[in-house]
Amino acid sequence: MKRVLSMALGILTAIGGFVDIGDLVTNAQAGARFGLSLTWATVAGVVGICVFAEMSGRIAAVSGRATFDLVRERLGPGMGLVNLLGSMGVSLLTYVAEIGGVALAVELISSVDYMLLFPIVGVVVWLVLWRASFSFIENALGLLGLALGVFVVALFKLGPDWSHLAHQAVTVGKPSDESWPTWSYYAVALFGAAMTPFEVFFFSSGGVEERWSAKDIPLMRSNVIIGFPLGGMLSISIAACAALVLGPLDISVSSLDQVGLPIAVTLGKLGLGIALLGFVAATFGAACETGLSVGYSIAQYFGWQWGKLVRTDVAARFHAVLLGASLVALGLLATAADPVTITELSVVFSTIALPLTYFPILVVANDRDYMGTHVNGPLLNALGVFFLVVVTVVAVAAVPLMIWTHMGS
Amino acid sequence: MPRTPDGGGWHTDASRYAGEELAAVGTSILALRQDDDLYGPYLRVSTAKAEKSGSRAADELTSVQPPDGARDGYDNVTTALEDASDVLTDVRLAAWEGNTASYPALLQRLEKVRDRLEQIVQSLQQGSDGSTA
Repeated sequence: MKRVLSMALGILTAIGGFVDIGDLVTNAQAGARFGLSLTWATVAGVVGICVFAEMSGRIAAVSGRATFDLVRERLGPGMGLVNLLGSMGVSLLTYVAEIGGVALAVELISSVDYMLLFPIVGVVVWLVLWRASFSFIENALGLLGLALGVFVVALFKLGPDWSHLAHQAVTVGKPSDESWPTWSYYAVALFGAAMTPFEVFFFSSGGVEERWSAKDIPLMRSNVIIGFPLGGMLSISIAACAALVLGPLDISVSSLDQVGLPIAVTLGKLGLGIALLGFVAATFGAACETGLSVGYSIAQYFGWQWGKLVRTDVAARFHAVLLGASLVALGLLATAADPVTITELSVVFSTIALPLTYFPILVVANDRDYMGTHVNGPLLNALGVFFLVVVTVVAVAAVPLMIWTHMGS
Repeated sequence: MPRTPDGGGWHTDASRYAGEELAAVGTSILALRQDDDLYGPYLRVSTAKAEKSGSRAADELTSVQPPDGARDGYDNVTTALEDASDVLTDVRLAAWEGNTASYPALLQRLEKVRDRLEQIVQSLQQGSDGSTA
């Protein structure tokens, strides 16, 4: 019974923790402009992250060590450093976006300008990273993130023509007033939003924090194989709601309030209140996860003590990184850079870091010295190689598309 | 110095900024129509952001030096954007003052500027310089 409850909790937190500010904004933008014609990109991203999250979770469970710990040892300090700089840089940018996202969500509740809110949000996030337990960060915020399920309810309440939506989702096409480069840019952004590197760092490091062993592999797999795709369904629901309510009014999404409007239209104040709770929980939870991911990656690379289960004074350098990352985030937001633009940039730059993040995981997951009998099977290797090719193509195309389309505008 | 695009660049800029203005107007229409379903702070933030987005689009296009022969289109499009921005400002003022009695009239004005912007966007997409919409 305890195991079933544990599995259910893991799945629910995986669903609730899947959506972050990048998913909220990118899916609403894509839905409003392209309908569901880019659903394939989200689905591909979800399958991709399932493949690599399973590998990294298995590595953590079998070796008891997290990703960067093994990357440096397996690929050497030089390659490890390149990997660290790429992945950590993107996680830091995502951390900035998430803190800005929390401030934007609280702005919608309070009508206090987000520029006055983000310093408070940054301090609260840092305090949570410093003082709160790992299970609180993972479970409480993940469960509250389930409030975003209100988008699924709204979608059914809207009563769309399901066959039309399904046709859009399985057809490669675009609206006549949109260009193929812009369509491709949003495909890349949706793929990147679903495959963000920090989710894998947090997942595998969390496995080490929770002291997973080989017997926990089935539990870990259920979180990944059930939780992540259901989280992806939330993303698609956000896109569908935007497509049905915002698209017909030619509303292209440039701020968080527009993402919530379809909920107000269909479910009124109660629904909107639940959506706002979901916005705050999803962005706050993701802020904690990305902040920790920055700390995890640096501490694991340099071989420092790290983690929430270690006393603060023992993991002092890990906590100093968390403080430093929080100060950098607040400094960037203090420049008055638009959090939504930072979010868009973080999603696109995430795609560039994808090969750097996922190649080492594939290498380590095939190493019998670390994995013993739990090395990748042929199917997982085939999927891993396929997605590695895809993420490499996406990484090469991301910046030219961003420049060519003026960030999809 | 103002940017001076060629004919194609003018089309691209005008379509883009008219589209952004249209999105801002659409957001305000949706927000005002649903004002009973929105919390006060949400409505206020939504209308303020729509106004900011609309003003930015109008300012950006106004600062473009039109290419030779596109002056009529420039005048027509920028005037439409500026008119829409004025309405968005009135909507924001009413929302922050809680002046719900003015919402029906504001909605009518918003719908009027939306229709005009839609015509402009459509004509720009059909290759016109925006002067005929």
